[in-house]
Amino acid sequence: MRGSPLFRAGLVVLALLALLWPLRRLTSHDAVPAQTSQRAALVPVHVVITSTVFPFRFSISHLGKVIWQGESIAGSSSRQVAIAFPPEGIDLLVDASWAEEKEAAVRVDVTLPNGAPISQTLWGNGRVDDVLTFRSPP
Amino acid sequence: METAESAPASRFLATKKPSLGQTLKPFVSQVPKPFVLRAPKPCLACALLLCMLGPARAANHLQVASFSTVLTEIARQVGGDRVTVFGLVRPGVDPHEYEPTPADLRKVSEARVILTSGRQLEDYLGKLQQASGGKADLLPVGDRLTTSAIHWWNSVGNVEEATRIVRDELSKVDPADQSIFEKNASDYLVRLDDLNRWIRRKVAELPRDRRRLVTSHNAFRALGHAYGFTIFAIEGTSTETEPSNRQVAKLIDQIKSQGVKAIFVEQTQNPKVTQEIARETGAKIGGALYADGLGTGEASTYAGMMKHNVSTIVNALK
Repeated sequence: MRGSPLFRAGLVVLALLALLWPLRRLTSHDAVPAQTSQRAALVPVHVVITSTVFPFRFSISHLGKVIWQGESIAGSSSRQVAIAFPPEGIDLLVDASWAEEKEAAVRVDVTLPNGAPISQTLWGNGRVDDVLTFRSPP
Repeated sequence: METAESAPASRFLATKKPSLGQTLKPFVSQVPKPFVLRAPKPCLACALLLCMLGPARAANHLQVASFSTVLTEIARQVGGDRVTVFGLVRPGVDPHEYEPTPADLRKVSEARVILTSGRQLEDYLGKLQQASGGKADLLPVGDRLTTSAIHWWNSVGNVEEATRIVRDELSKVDPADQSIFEKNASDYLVRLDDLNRWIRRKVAELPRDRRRLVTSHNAFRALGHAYGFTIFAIEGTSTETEPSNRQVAKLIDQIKSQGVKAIFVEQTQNPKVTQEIARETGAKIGGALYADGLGTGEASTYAGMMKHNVSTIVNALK
């Protein structure tokens, strides 16, 4: 091979550099990142909140975000929300309060499309604040 | 003939040595009377009474030996100042590997109640029974719980149940202080209830389909059951067992197929295998958990330990 030795050395360096990348890919032990779990798709969920004492104020949170809050003059309010509902179910943080300091119950009904309502109830005096779990019936 | 110098000497030799009262008389007579006559009698009486009551009170003080950091906290909370609790398994010590020292067994011999985790976690119960000479009640608390989990303290509900068991035991041994134990237990149960509510709220931030907890050893079954986590453990229920290659390979497949974002090391465990699995699966190390009881710093209380564990898990898996 003819040409300047400097030029030949440069070619060798370039060839080595070109080999470096596939070589590293073949030998490195970097794992394939864990697949992100198949997240459940958003579905329209019908939510009803009912209280034995009214008027009452309430807020419902899902995954740390408030999805519905308000005040109900009647004993019951309803709304449709779009949330992911995996087979394992969902947790809703329910906070409800009444002007009067007396024992009351608040019921939350969650209905999936083509499904029967799933109900959970909290009891409290003046205020309730807890997490309710809703699972699809088997 | 007596000389002027010899006379006093002969008198001294001839007469008896003066008594202490005679020697002190000139000084005593100079001290004001009220001090001399009134002060010593009540003071001496009080001192004598204290000397007599002091050891008796110490001897009657209920002494408890605890072989679980969580039970040590429960016994101290319920017993208050009526009970002396010897926490023999100290924070940060792996209870799977703990063996009582001769000094620990001496403490056991002084105790009226011995608290252990139960569920066969302690393989030295025979030594404790021998050390106590049958004088103490040996109470394996975990054996009386409704759960079968060995690491039962990783669910607040189980600790609430354990608190009632300890309260009843202390009341049985020391019925005179029953009302105090009941009040203390009631206060502690309110705090546990607040902690449980805090945990439920924190865990609710995590979708239920992401509640997959991979840890070094199988210590979080109670937590999984209480808060909706599926548990995958590299080792068995004891830290002393080594995982087989087949177990590790199966776990790697599960982590990949379930898309687990993070796996966790434990404070008292060598993280080598966990780190290897993280590298193999691409999951990150989510942090270090307290699996076997209380630790130091923020985890030196039960509430602190649970809050640390739950925050670490939820924040890493979100």
